[in-house]
Amino acid sequence: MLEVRGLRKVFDQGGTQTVAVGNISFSLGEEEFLAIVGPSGCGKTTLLRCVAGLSQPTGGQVVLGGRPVVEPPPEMVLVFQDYTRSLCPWRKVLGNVLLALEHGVLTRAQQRRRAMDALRLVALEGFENHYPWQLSGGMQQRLQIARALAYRARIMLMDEPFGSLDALTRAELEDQFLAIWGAATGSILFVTHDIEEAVYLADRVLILGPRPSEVVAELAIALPRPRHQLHTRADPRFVEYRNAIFTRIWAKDTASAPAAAGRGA
Amino acid sequence: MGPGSRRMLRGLVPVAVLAAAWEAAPRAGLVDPAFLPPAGAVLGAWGDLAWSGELPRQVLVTARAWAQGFVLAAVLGIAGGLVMAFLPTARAMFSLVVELLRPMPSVAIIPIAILVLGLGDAMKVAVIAYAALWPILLNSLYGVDGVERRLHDVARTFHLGRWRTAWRILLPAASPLIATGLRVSSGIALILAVTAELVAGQSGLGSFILQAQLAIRVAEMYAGILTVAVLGFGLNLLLGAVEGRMLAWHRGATAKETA
Repeated sequence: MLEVRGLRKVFDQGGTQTVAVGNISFSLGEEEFLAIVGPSGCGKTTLLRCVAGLSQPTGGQVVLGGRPVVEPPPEMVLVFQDYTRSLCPWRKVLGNVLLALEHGVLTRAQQRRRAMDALRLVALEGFENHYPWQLSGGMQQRLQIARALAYRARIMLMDEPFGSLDALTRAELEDQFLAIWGAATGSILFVTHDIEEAVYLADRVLILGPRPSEVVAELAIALPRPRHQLHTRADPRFVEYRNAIFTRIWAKDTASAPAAAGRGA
Repeated sequence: MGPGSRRMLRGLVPVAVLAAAWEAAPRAGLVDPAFLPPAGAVLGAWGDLAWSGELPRQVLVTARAWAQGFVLAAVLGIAGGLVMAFLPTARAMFSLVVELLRPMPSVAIIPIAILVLGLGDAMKVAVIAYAALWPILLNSLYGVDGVERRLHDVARTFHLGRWRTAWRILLPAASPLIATGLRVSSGIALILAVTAELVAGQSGLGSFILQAQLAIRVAEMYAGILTVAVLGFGLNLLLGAVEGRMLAWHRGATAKETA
């Protein structure tokens, strides 16, 4: 349903050209959880901004439902890594979720009901009247996820959403989010620099090389769901996937892919 | 005793020392009492003037001009700043004008204002509004400019549109800086109110101070000056309280970050 074709993004800063995204093509299927991993600075965020319609690619295009994306489409919602800067500090928790619903289609009662439903999903019920800055980092990120859920887009784009959380909170949020995703319908495009997180969460992992980034390999993750922080991570296949991706990212010669990193493992 | 009241008591120590010095110096002949009467004499004059209703009357005149000029400046400044922030055409048109007018000392327009508006309240209000306009306008403009790019992204992602983005994201996000502009301008507005009254006022604290000085009622002159100081202090407290209520979220959010 979502297709990225030959996407390229070049930044021109005072005559110096920086190729942030070299040439990236992939597609995202219905109900699919696709993770994109790559070393930091490989243009993952830039790629996601282009997919979201917040930034225009220099070359190639993003196609959603047969139409090129030039503006943020209503079928997509974006969750940012930096929750403190993405939430409105002057709005309380409920108000921050309502922000996603104020585009003018719903009645007030509908907005409120949907916002409360979303807060219940991320277990923030009872915190409606707190300000975001009164919450912990993990709770703030859950609030941002609740806001995105309330919007009810078919595709959720996530830019390292758990990247600035501590390990325990991160594991908790990963599982909470997988449960929510499993119960709902929709696709996820999840960008991360954490290889294990990508393997743990996704159906399929795209591996990007260093800048100017290209897709160097693609890996289907055939681990059973629901996944489990202990069992899944101890599964020999999990370790195999992880090692394959790790090797692939750091392979000097990007032309010869190890067999394990090939399609459809 | 709480830490707050202890801090206030500590703040009063230098005030008490200054008052004591003010009382002692003229009595000891260190300064000529004709220029600086002892603190007690000034306080006495102050009490008489307050009791007779003379000072409250003058305070009311000055405070009313301050309020009218300040509100006018706030409305025009916030509106102007927002229009310049939102419309590139307006910004291109007016930024040079703003940059040319802003650095000019505002008191310099008092003669023009007298020429055009005469010596009445209209002149005073116009001068106050003019001087108080700039900090409010620039802080509103820069406040909107400085809104995190991330919040623009959020507004676009959720399809808020131009107006909702302006009212529900940019204006609240800029409000702490706008409040700073208002605080700065409130002080400027009082300076201009008293200056305009000193130069051309028929009533008000500035005019009262000048009249007392001309009549060599030195203690009364000092009483007038003290009143201006207290008025400025009170107006600042008032604005601080309003800001504290309206921007409680901002104090909370920033306190947490520095904690």
